Formats: sequence, C-alpha cells, structure tokens
Amino acid sequence: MNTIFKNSVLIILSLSLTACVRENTSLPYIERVYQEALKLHREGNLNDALFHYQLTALLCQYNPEDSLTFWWKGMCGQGGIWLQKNFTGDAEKDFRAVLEFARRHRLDTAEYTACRQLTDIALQRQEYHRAYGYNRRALQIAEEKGYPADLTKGLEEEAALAQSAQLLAQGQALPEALHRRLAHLAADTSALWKRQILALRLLALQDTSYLPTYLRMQDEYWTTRFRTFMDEAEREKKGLIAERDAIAAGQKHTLFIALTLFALLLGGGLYAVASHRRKHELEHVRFLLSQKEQAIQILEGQQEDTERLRRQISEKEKRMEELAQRERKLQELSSLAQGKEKDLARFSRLTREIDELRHRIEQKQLEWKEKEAQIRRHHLYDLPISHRLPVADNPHQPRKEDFDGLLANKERQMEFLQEMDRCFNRFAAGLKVLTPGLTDEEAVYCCLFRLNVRPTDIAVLMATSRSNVSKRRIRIENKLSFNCSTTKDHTVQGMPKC
Amino acid sequence: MRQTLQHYKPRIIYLAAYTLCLIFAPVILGGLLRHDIFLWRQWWFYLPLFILGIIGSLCKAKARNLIFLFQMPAALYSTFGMTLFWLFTDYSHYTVTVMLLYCVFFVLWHTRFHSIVSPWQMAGAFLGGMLYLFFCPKLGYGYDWHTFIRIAEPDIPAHIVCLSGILLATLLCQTRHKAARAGMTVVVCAYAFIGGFHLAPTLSHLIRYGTATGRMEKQTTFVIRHPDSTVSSAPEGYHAYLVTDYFDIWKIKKYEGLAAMFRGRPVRFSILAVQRHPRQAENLVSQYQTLHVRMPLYFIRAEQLETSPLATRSGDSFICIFKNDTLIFNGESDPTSRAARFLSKELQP
Repeated sequence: MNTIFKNSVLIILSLSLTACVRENTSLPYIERVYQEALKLHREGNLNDALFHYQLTALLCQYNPEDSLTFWWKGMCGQGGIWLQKNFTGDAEKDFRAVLEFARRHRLDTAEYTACRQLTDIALQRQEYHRAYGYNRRALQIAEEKGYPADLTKGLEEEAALAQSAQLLAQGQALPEALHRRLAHLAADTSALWKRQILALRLLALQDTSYLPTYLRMQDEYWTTRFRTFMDEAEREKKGLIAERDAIAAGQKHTLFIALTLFALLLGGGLYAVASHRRKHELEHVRFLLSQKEQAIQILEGQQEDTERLRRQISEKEKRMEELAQRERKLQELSSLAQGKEKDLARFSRLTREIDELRHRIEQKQLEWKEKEAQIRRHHLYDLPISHRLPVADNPHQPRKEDFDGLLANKERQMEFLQEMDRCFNRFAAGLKVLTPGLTDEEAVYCCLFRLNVRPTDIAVLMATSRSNVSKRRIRIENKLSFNCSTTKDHTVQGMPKC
Repeated sequence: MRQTLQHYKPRIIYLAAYTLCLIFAPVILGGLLRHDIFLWRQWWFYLPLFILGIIGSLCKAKARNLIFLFQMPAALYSTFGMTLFWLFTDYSHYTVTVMLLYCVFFVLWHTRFHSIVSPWQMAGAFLGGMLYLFFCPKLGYGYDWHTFIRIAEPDIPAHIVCLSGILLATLLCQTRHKAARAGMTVVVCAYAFIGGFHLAPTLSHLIRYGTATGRMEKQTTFVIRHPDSTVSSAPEGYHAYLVTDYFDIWKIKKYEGLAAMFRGRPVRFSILAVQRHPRQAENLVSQYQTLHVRMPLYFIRAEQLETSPLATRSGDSFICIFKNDTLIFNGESDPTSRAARFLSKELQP
C-alpha cells in the first residue's frame, strides 16, 4: 500500500512537472506575438488577430529597434482587419499612420503597402484624386524597387481604375485603351468583386448602357456582403461563446487540477500523519511492553529478595533465641561468678606479682649475661696477646706501636685462638668444628670481628691492607653462610651472625 | 574510526539534505523545466542561507532542526513558484494555496519532529524564514525603503494572511484533545479560504487605495486637459475614469469591457492619462490611436494628481468613479469586477 501510494505520488508529480516545462523558443516575444496574429488572421479569428496586431504595435514602443520591422506590419495587419470588418475610417487612420511613419523613416515597402491600401480606400470613398496620387506613388516605388510579381499583383488594375477615375472626375473622356481595360476588368469574373463593381461604375459614368449591370452587380454585392456580415457576426458570436466556454472549461480544469492536487496533498499528509502515528503507537506499545517486562523482572527480583530476607529473618530469630539462651546462661554464670569475685581479685593480684617477679628475673638474667661477657672480655684483655688488642673497652688502651703486626705470625695467631677458647668457652675451636674449611687465620679474623675490632685496626694487627681485610671478611662470610645453611641447627652461641 | 563516522553521520546527512533543498529549485528544477538557473544571480539570497546551514551542522540536533526549518519557506516558495503556482492566474488562489501548503508542511514537520522542537519554536523559525524571504530582496537589490514598500505592497496582505495561518497551525499542533484538534483543522482550512478570497484582497485594497470596499465620499475639484489642450473640470453625473500613465492593452481591453457592460446606462467612461513629462502625452495619444480606444482621453499632470484626493499609494493604474464632483469609488483596474459590482449597486433604480 505504502509503495503504491509513493509511486502514485511520484508519477503525479512527474506529470505535473512535465506540464510546467517552458517552451523552448529562440524567437523574441514581439515576433512570436506577430506570428500568432498572422496565424489567427489566416484562421479567420479576426478579434484575436486584431488584439495581437495591436499588442505587436504597442510592444514596439518599448523596443524602438523593433519598431522599424514590426510596428508598421502590426498596423497594416490591424488596418486590413478593420477593412474586412468594413470600418474603413479606422483602417484609413492606421494606413495613414503607417504612411507617415514610412516616409519619416524611408521605409519603401511600408510606404508601398500603405499606398496600395489607401488607394483602395480612396476609390471606395470616391476620393479619386487622392486615389490617383497614392497609386502613382505605389507604381513609382514598385518600378524603383522591382518587386516580385506576387507583391505587385493587381497593381496595374488599380492604376487603370485610379487613372480612369481621375480623368472622369476631371470631366475628361476615357481614352480607348483605358476604356477597353475597364470593360475587360468589368467582365473579368476572376477579378476582385469590388474592383469589378468599381470598373462598372466608372464605365456607367461614361456610358449609361453599363448602368443596369452596375446596379445589379452592386445589389448582388451588398446582398452578399450583408449576408457575409451576418454570417461573420454569427460566427464571431459563436466564436466568442466558444471562447467563453473554453475559458470556463479551462478554469474548471484548473480548479479540478488544483482541487485534485490539494486533495492529494491533504490525503498524503493525512496518510503520512496516520502512518507516522500508527508507527508511533506501535513503538509506544512496544515501549510500554518493555517497561512492563522490566517492571515484572524488578518485581520478581524484589520477590526473591523478600524470600531471602524472610529466610534471613528466620535465621536471625533462631540466633536471637540462641543468644537469649546464652544470655540466660551468662546471667546464671555471672550470678555464680559474683560469689567468687574476691578469690578472683586475689588470684589476679598474685598473678600480677608473679609477672613482676618473672620480669625482674629476665632483667637479672640479661644483666648477668652482660656481666659475664664483660668479665670474659676483661679476662681476655688480661691475657698476653689480647692485652694489646685495640678495642674500646680494653682498659689498657694500647698504642699503635703496641699492636702493629701483633697477629701477623702463626704462633701468635694460635696463642690468640687459645686465649679466645679459654675466655669464650671454646669459641674458636667451635667455629672450626662447625666450619671445617675454616683456616686458623680465618678463625682469627672471626674472633677479631666478634670483639668488634675496627677493620683498620685489624689490618694493622694482621699486617695487611684495609681492602684485604674487607675481601677476607666477604670470603669468610660466604664460607660461614654456606656452612650456616647446612648446619643451621648446630649454631654455637657467640659465633658471628651469618 | 567507526565511532567517529557514527558521530558525524547525522551531521553529514543534515548538510546534504539542507544543501539539496537549497539548490533544488534554483539549479535542478530551473534546469529541468528550462527556466533560468538563478542561483548565481541571486547569490546574496542563497549564500547567507548556505552559511547558516554550515553553522547548523556544527550545532546540536535541535538547532539543526530549527535552521533547516528556517530555510524551508524559501525552498517551498521557489519550488512551487516554478511549478504549482503557474496554474493560478488569480492572486486569491495563490494566497489560499500558499497558506494551505505552508500549514500542511508545518503540521507534517511537527508530527515528525515534535519530540525535538516545540510548536512555538518551530513557528518562530518558520516565520523568521518567511520574513527573510520577504525582506532579503530589499538588501539584495539595494532598494530604498520607499521603493521596497511600493514593490512589496501587493505581497504584504498575502504574507500577513500566511503568517496568521501559521500561528493558527501552531495552535493546532499545540492542541491535545482530539475534538479540539478536528475543530482547529476546520478553522485553519476555513481561514485559508476566507483569508485568500476575502481578507487578503480587502487588506490589499485598504493599503493601496485607503478603502477596503472601494466606496468613499470625497469632494473634489480637479482640472483635466483634453488632447487639444483645452481645459475643463469634471463633468456632471456619473463618470468613471481609468487613471493610468501607460496603456496596458489588457487593462484597456478590460476597461472597454466594463464600459460595454454599462452601455446605455447613465455613466460615462473615460481614460485619464497621467502626464509625468511633456513628451509622454504624445506617446499616450499614439498608443490611444493604435488601440482605437472608443472613449475620451483626458490628461492630468502628475503633480496635480498627487495633491488631489485621487492620489493612491499604488503606482499602478486604477479606476475612480465620480458622482458629480464627489469621488465615490477608488479601486483596482484589473480585475474590474469590484468596480462593476459597485456601479451595478449604485445605478440600481
């Protein structure tokens, strides 16, 4: 339905657009108007042709460059129509205006055309002198310009008529040749009726035998002319009615198209609105459904939460009961405990006293340990080798000369190790046992490190450099750490830390 | 990259649609229908709209929507001006159609985008666009204010009717209740026809001739000159004049038709040509003779016309009817229906 509707709208729009395409014409507007006038004139639509001739002439006033081409043509066309309608006065005015214009602008063809028409009018109005003048001028222009035959058709007949009329008006007799010409023209049925009658009239003026024929012809001419006028008037009336009907039909057509387009637009609009609303409503329903689904999910979730809460509440109630039971027991116990509170206070006082005593014992133990270490060190400093050790707590305070190279030789090292074993409960020997790869010299170093002798002083004692002491220390530490990891559980008290 | 494209996609679509709407009539339709491609000629009208569109592409959806709506009166006017409006010869039909089109478009737009913009915001943007369409030629062609008002005068009533119609359409969009909405729809449609056929012509007549119906009553004495330079005052009885400063064949023929309608009635028809410069009389007489007008031709000087009660705001031809020395009617010359109605009523026994 939607596709059909859209396609229909597209087709109607395309057709409407096609109707709006402008005609592609390269002719200027004024020329188109003149061509239209000629066409209407040929078709016998005199009123519209007259309108278009007048429009052509008026347009020329706004386009001066076109006036030389179209103005006189428009005016001549208009004059021709006035002649056809038997408005000779109007026709004469137009042709005279053209004649003046042509003389002013030296337009020979325009002058020639106007002169010929004015000759005709003047002959009809029996103004023979003027007719002769106009005819002479037309003949002169035709001779000068050498117009083709179709343009000069009937000119000689006009000349004969005008000349004859001029002579007769002056009271002169017609020459034989001219008389013959007139007689020929009067008898010529192919000639224009008006000219035939005019020739007969001129002949009748000279010879009365032509008078009955002239009167008969004149009667026939005016009868026919009257009938033609009546017919033309009738045709014009019918034409006007037809034109009015065509305009009314056109208006109806326009109204119909306008109403159809409006109805289509309105229908399209309503359809679009309805379609959009339907779509919108569907979306709205979907939205509501999704909202309800969400609400249901939320409610389900809330229901689960409620059950879980209920379970939790029941559990809590049970716990509360248990707690209440415990509280009751506690109350019972507290009532029991109130009786033994005094014993408990005494017991706690005794416990505090025991703790204080234990603390004091620990402090004493520490003091004793320190004292023991101090005694051991003082004892060591009383021995011959250790007597000269450069340590801060050595009461002898040896000078550098006293301990320079003191432990440099093997014997003194061994003596020093024995002194250390004696004072520190076989410290050096224990080290050797725990670390089998440890040499005596390294054991000496260990003892010196144990006694907190400064590395600079150790270097002096061992008669070596400060860097060597550091390197030796690292090496000993590596050895001890390796050994310490293997014999972790057999650590000897007083050994240097790994 | 994809996210960036997703972000810019609505803006690109907007800019493409906006540009298409803007150039559809002056370039595409103009070329297809063999009219003139007038985009380059009227660049001063289309360039600001295009710049506005580009600015809109940088804004949010609501601003984009309103900017799009701002250019729609111009787009609709140029599109239908080359297609649908060719069918109408009468200005009333044009007014009705334009108003209905604008209202239908407005309601459709509201139906589609009511979630983005409110009806009053839409009305503001749309009316702004209409005012731009109305006033931009003043800037573009460099008219002074007086000339602009004189040229735009015939369009002012149609614009007023359309603007009020849009306001009614806004009220329609604002209405929620179904019955009220149906009622408002009927009101809008009725207003379109009343506005187009009655309100706009009346308003136009009021602006141009100072009277809504054409009827007036002003004592006046002014001097008219005959083509032979003799001078006379207005004759006695009913007499109608076509006051013009040039011979428009259509208006002359219609005036002749009016005269033919009242042939045999006690009213005389003449043409009063306004002479603005000395040579104009000669031209007018020439045109008068060319058209074979069968009613008298008189002249009046332009300065004299300006100071007389005949003076109108319209620079166009008009018909005035006198009863003795009292001006009783002043109205347009095309169509002549208003003058014909007036005369028929006036000449009733």
